[in-house]
Amino acid sequence: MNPNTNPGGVSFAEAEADSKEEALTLAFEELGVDPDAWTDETFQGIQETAAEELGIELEDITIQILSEGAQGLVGLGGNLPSRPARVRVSIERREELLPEDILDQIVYLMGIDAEIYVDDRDDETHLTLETPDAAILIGRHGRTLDALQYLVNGMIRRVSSDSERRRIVVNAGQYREKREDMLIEMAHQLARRARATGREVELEPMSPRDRRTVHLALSDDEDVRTFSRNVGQGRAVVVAPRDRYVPDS
Amino acid sequence: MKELIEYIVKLLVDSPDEVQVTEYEGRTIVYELSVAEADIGKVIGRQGRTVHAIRTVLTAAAARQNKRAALEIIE
Repeated sequence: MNPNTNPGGVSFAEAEADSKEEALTLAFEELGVDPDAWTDETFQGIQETAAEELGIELEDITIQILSEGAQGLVGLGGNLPSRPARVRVSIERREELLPEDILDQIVYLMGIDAEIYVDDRDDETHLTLETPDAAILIGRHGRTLDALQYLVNGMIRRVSSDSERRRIVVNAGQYREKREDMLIEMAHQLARRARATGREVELEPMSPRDRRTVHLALSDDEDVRTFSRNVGQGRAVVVAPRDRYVPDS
Repeated sequence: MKELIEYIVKLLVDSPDEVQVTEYEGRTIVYELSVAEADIGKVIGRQGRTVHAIRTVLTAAAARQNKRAALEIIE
């Protein structure tokens, strides 16, 4: 299912059956849920499966029970006729394609079971994948994580008309935090080397975020200054000894 | 993994209906991707970064199943 060809809006269906669970299933099938999808046949379970199949959130499903239904009863009080259960389901598809939905679908299609936690910080949205398979999603030197992040940002830029687009950061297994700690430690180490040798040290080319981490780590260091060199993919931080003013003694 | 490629590519192009992925089984599973001519640049990306990212994600998904996969864009 391609979300592009699936514009937002509300659609609904009504169904009748012997039980409200069955009626609910029929209504969801009318709304496009695969009849083979049902696993959990409780009232709640059906909704959850349907939400997943339809790619929407549980809160976007509204259910009205028009009739609980009743089993036919032949007994002491006489005969009670059976009444079918009737439900009405309406679902709302959101216009906007959210980055967490895209990432969720990609990770699912990769065959990985993960939960996504969304955290909005300043002008960034952090999507953290909680999964026992974090190592696969991170990849060597964080390459898979960076690829996912690059793709999700590209897709959001394309589908979103929002003028104030947020940068999406994809994280798993605390990789971003560990990377930041590693960069800060490395920055201080290189600053010591620059100071000791009196020569500048050029780092490997890095992403703007990583370069910023290095610049910030050394911004208070009075012995060195940092700047970036080269353009495009080759842009790298340089740590240089600061020409110190030596006062006359 | 075919669905994975289709899902990603359809969100990157202007003509999602023209996205086609063909799978060729082998020691390495080869996926041939074709998109509308006007969309080829979007799939490749600046300095090939987009197709590189798609391949990285595909490789990870394949490794998950102890397989190898390759993606080729056909023009």
